[in-house]
Formats: sequence, structure tokens, C-alpha cells
Amino acid sequence: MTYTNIIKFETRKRNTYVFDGNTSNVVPVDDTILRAIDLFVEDIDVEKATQILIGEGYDNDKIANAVSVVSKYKRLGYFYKDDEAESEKRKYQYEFENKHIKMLHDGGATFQLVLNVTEDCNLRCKYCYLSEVYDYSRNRTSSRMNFETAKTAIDNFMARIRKVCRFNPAKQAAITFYGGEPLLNFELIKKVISYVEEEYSDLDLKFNLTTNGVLLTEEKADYLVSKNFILSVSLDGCKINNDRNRVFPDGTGSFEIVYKNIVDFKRKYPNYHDIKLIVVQEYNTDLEENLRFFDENQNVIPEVVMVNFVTSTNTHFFDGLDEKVIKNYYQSFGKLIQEYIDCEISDKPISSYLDKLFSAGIYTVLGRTRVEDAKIPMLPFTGSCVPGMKISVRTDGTFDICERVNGTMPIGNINSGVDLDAISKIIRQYNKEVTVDCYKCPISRNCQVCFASCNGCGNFNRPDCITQINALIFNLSLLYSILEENPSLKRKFSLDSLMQVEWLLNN
Amino acid sequence: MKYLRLMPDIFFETTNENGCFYHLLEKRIQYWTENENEILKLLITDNIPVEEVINKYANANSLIEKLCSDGDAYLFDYPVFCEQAQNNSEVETRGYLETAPQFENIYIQVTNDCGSDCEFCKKELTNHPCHCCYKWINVCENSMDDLNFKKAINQIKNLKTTNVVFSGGEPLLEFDKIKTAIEIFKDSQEIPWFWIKTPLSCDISDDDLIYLGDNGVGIDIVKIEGRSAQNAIKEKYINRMDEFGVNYKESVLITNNTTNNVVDSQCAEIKNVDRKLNTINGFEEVQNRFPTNFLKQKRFNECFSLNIALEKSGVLKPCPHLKFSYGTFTEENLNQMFRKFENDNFLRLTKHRIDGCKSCSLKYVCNSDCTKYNLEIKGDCKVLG
Repeated sequence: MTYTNIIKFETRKRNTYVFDGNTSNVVPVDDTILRAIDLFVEDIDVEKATQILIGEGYDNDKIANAVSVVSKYKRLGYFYKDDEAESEKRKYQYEFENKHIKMLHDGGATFQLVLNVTEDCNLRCKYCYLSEVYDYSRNRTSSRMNFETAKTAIDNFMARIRKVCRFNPAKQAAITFYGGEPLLNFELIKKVISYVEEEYSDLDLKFNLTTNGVLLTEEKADYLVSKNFILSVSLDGCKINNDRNRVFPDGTGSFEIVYKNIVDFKRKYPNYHDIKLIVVQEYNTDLEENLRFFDENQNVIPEVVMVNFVTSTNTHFFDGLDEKVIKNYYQSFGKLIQEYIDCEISDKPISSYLDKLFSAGIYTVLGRTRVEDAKIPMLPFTGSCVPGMKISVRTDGTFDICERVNGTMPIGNINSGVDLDAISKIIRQYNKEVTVDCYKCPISRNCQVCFASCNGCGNFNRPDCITQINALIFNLSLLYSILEENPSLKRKFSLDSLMQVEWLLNN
Repeated sequence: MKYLRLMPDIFFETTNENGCFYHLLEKRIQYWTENENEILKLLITDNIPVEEVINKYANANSLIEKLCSDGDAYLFDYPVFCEQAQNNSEVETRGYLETAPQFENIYIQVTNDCGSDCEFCKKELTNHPCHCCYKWINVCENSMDDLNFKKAINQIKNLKTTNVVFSGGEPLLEFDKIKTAIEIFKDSQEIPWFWIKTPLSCDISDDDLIYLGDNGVGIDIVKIEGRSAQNAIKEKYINRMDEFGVNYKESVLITNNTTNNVVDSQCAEIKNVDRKLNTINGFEEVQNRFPTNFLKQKRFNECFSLNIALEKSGVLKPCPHLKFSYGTFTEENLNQMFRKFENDNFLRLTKHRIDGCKSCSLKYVCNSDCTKYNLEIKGDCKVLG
């Protein structure tokens, strides 16, 4: 029994639920309800459905209840068939003009300026998306941003933010320093901060910096702390896990230096909580070893805020990988899932690594777009932003949608500003090449695919939809496994997800 | 053992006294008696098996049967989880993705002087209904000069609002200020509705009436019950408004004869209004209401977070009747005022944090919930938490 717009999943206790694609809501079910859904999707009426259920030997006590529930929810918009879903979802295919994009920008969507202050890096991480192992991605160069470029980009961005603040006074905005390794151009960062403090003190701005931590010396740390920077430091866990991929050009690992820097930082600023770790892992990562490492070091290094898996599209990174390695990885992963669920259910302390390894998925499920949440009309499917709400500035002043896309689809530059024609073209191309069949998909409003995840060479590649659906099933199953044993955690997860959203936006 | 589970989109709001279901997709509310509320709390909130509850309450079985036959609930053999209130995402976007506040009303006090001499007006914090001509609380005697007034209006004109309400004292005493403000507001992206809340204690010239008619400015006339002489004068003006095609509506203040305190107010039907608005003084039956945006109702408080009020002195407040202020336009700009209260301001004051509301299960449908009389507001919003 397969419905295009209904996804079935089970929890650890083998209870069954369905995710309804039309509403993005989850309905707990049993065999009787499931069969009733099957019948009502085929437009069988209440009386006939009841007879069929009786005839098929379902529990008499439950049949009337199940039929009442399913018929009511079908009437309310749940459990459509494919063709109904198509006509419903096609309503969201809006035509749009440049002025509509501008309305979104001016209406408050603009929030982040990413300054790629250098394209250079002092590490040669083997999975780096700015390297040769990824097709279509931009690669490292020795190019650095100069102050004039940064200043013009900032003036352009701040003019937009000031406009938004006129009707939205509590609006915050961020300047993120990115690279390459941004600390290689530390003098520019300091100059930019002085300029912003002098010219834009009326705005509520936050400064973010994503670094590999190698150059996070005491002097730099003092400065960054004094300016309340939100710092994200990359560390892939224990020495063996980190140094497998995060290496210097000569092939030596970066763990010792980075570990020392973050320990020193934490010792000097024990109450500074705006420094967090970003962990990247891949099939070779020894998860249990990492868990031990972060547990043992939880008082001496910053908390983990995000655990990412190496991006698997358009890459040669996984070429030639042994099946056994993948199998081992998933075995360890499975063990950690059980440990995570047990800890959450029993309110046991949980390390930030184990927490973030799984909770990020839970937050995406909790924050999913529901039936009454508005989607951007011109981008009704997938998780794309509106290009231009965030602006990533290359070292030469060209604007990109974000720091993760390659250089084939610029959206303006510091001299002429945001190019609405270019954005419009990108959205149309994306809707044509990526989302054209999304109306058939039950998770079309909640899929995480975006411009960056399928950016090709001047085009968009078809995303891996099955992975997206499986991720949602996994996360739903994880969340409901916990909540059916400890429903009170819902509130905690909801509150935590607010913080996580902020960090995701920062980085 | 069987466990009763409400199906999606039904939000059970329960307090010690009462409870109700918010059927979010069906847009209706279902009330429960005290006894039914107790039963439902055991079944839904406390997760007690059906058999135990039936043993304790004689009418539990019929209640459960009703919920099941209506398709609102299902009896599971195991304690599954079902999220309540699923039709909106619970994750709020703040900070970077902060959405602009959408106000219902921006109140602008153009003067504190008045030609009427109403007894109740002299009393401090009497039981007074919202939005009438009553003197604003704690108003400083100073007035902004014209330049500062224009500066202030220029800033608040960008806030998104449905109505701009000029009040006083007697706002018609400062008609030029009203015109200045309207002309500035007409520059904003979405022009709001303009209202003048007046006790009609002074004359209005023909030119002024023409201006009001041409610009669609409505007059909200405050009458006082039982004061026939004063009300008769108002009738004279009302006839002229008909003549000049000015939109108007009448509010009647009902006073207690002994204390002269206003005890209630009623809003007459809006007349001459071509596009009828939600009544500013609405006293509709709560039963007919369902929140159009349930999540908004959960996250905001109609009285505190959906209004903003500018005193003649330049002080900006969430409501004319509160002492608490965001700041003063003569000293700060709008951004600075709001930024001072980033996470703890009235724009974020939810009903479940307010004493007058949190014990009531109907709080998410009630939008005449001004609880200022139940609260000791001391100029500090934290006392409400």
C-alpha cells in the first residue's frame, strides 16, 4: 500500500504513524485506521468502507471509530489521492515579476551579509567543498578582499537594512566573515568592524566568524571577544578523526594546534558562550571515539553546535569507498541513536556532540512548514531562500546567493547592487530544472534541497529526492520515538529549536 | 488498556476552572463543563488509561463515545503521541528573520485639552473602557513642538497598521496637527484607515468636514448615556456629517449614576463607512469568534502587542492606558526604543503570561481582553511575567 502523498513511519516501540503530505501533519494510526485511509483515498463511502472493514475481519470495536476519524480528516483536507494533490499543489505555481522579489527584500527578508575576506586557506581539508574534490564548486585561490570592496558591500547592504528597520524596528542583521580561512585577512576584519561601529551604530548588528581555529591565537581571541563575535570553529572530534581530513598542505594534521587554541580560549573566557564547534563527519569517522572525546572534554572546549555529514553530491570524495566502512559507520550510528533516545527519555545529561548529532534533525521536523504556514509564492517547493535576502560577497565584489554556491550564478555586484533580473532568472531556472515535479512529492514543502545543494555549471542538477524523504522519515521516527515515551520533551525541543535556528542562520 | 488520543488540529486548552477544544481546521470551539474538563485532563493531559477514568467518572464513557463518533479522538491500544495544534509551525523566527509588527491601531494623542467637563474623566484609573476619550494615563503636560511632532509621525508612519486613531482630550481642537499627520501617513506604503475619537466638544468647520470627507477620515463620536443635553448637541454635528458624507460611528459610554464611573461601553453600527472595518470597540459574542491565526493569538496579546500609542509629549506606549513606555521621541528614535526591550517587550507579551488571562481557557479567542485593571502596572513590563 503506497500513497504518493502519505508517508508511513514507525517508532522504536513499533507504533505506526503517517505523515500527511497535504497538511505536513502526523497522524498516529493502527491497522484499522491505515486500512480505512486506504479505502477513503479511493473515495469509498462510509457505509461501504465499514462493510469492507468488517468483511476483512478488523476489530469491530474499532471500525466505527476509525471510519469516523478518517472520513472527518479526509473532509478536512488530509489523505488526498495523487491527482487531487496535483491540482491542489499546482495552485501554488505563481507567476512573478522582479517587483515581487524586491517586495520580499524590502519587506524585511534581507538579513545577512557574508564577506568572503579571502579565498585562501591554511588547511587542505580533504572534503572541503571549495576544492577539487567537488565538481562545479569554486576553488581556493590567493585572492583577498580589500577594504574598499568590503566598505562598498557594507554600505549597499546597510542601506537596505535601514530601510527595513523603519517599519521593523526590532530587526537584526548580521555580517559574517567567511573564507577560505577568514583569519588570514584579520586586518581587514578589524578595519571593517571599526567602520561599521562608526557608521552604523544605530543598527542591531551581529558579527559572525567561521574559522578552522588554527590562527585563533590569544591576541585574536581577545579582539573577537571584545566585539562579541559569534564564533564557529571547525573541529571534527578526536585527533584521529580530525586529522584524517583536516590537514595542512604538507599533510600533517591540525588537531594539536586547534585543540590548544580552543582550550586556551575556553580557559581565558569560560563564560563566553558565543563560541561553538562545528563537526563534520564521513563514513570513516569513528563515532564512538568522537563521543568519548567530546564527553571527556566537555568542560575544557566549547560546545558542539552542529554536526554535518560531508556533502555527498557532485563529489569524488567517496570514490572507492569500501562497503564495509559504510556498514561499520551505520552500525555505530545505530548504537548512538539508541543511546540518544535513552538519554532524552530518561532526562539523563547528554553531551553536546550526541545531542547535536541527532537533535538538528528533530528541529527540522518540529519547524517544518505546516498547512497554514505561508510559503514564498515564487518558490513554493523545497527549502530555498529568496536569493538576495542573504548576500555572499566574493573577494572581487561579486554577489552570490550564499557562500555555498559556486560562481556560475552571480546575483549582482558591489557597484550595481542586487541584480533582480539575475535572481528572477535563477528562480525560474530552479523551478524548471529542480522543482518541476515537486507537486507530486509528499515532502515538497519540507524538503531541504536548495540552490546550493544542486548548483551545477550554470544549471541545476536534479536533487537526490529519496535521500530527502528518508531523512524526514528518520527524523520523524526519532522524534516520535522520544515523545511517545516522554511527551513533556516537546516543549524543550521547541525552545531548543529556536536557538538552533539562530545558529544555523549565523553560519 | 486503552488510551484516548485527540487527533491532529485539535488543541485542548485546559485550566483548573474550565477547558475547551480549539478545532483549528474546522474553525470552531467546543466548550466543556467543569466535570468534562476534569475527565479530559485525566485522559489527555495525564495520559490515564480509559478504563481507570471510566471507573472514576460515571459520564466518562458517554463523553469518550462522543469524541470517537465525532472523529475527534481514537482509542489506541498503546500510548502513542499526537501533536496538538499542528496547522502552524511552532518555531518562531526572531532576530534576523524578525517579522515586522502588524498593529491594529496606532493611537495619536494630539492634545490633552477638552471642551467637555465629564466627571469620570477627572478620576484616576477608574473602571474605564478602552479607547474612549478618557485622558491618557500619566500624560506629561509638555507637548512636542511641530517639528518634533512631524519627526515622530514620520517614523511611526512606516509601522504597519490597520487604523490610525487621533484622540485627546478633544482632538478636534488641534485639527491642523491631525491634518499634518494624515498628510505624512498618506506617504506610507499602505495607507491606513484614519479615525478621530472625539467627545465632539467643539465646533467643526465646513472646510474641515470637507477635508474629512475627501480623505475618508472617520469620526468616532463618544456619547455618554443619560446626558441628553450634551448628546443632543452631538446629534447636530452628526446631521452635518451625513451632509458632508463623512464616515462616523457612535460609541456610548454607560456610567454609574452614583460614582460617575464609566462601567461599560457599546459601539453603535458604523455608518457611512463604505468598507466596514472590524469594530474598534467590538463587543461581539465570544462564541462567534475563532482566531483567524491561532498561532498569532498564542504568541501575542491583542491589547498590548497589537497597539501602539503616541502621547502629545512624544512618549511612545503600547496602549494609552498604560504607564509603561518604550521611550520618548524627543530623546530617542523608534529603533532605539524598541531595541531596549528586545526580548521582553509588550510586542512579545503572550496571554499565558498575564494574570488576567492565563487561567482562562478561552484566551485565544478573546480579543477584548484588556486586563490592565487586573494588573499592577508599575512602568515595568517584567511584573507581568
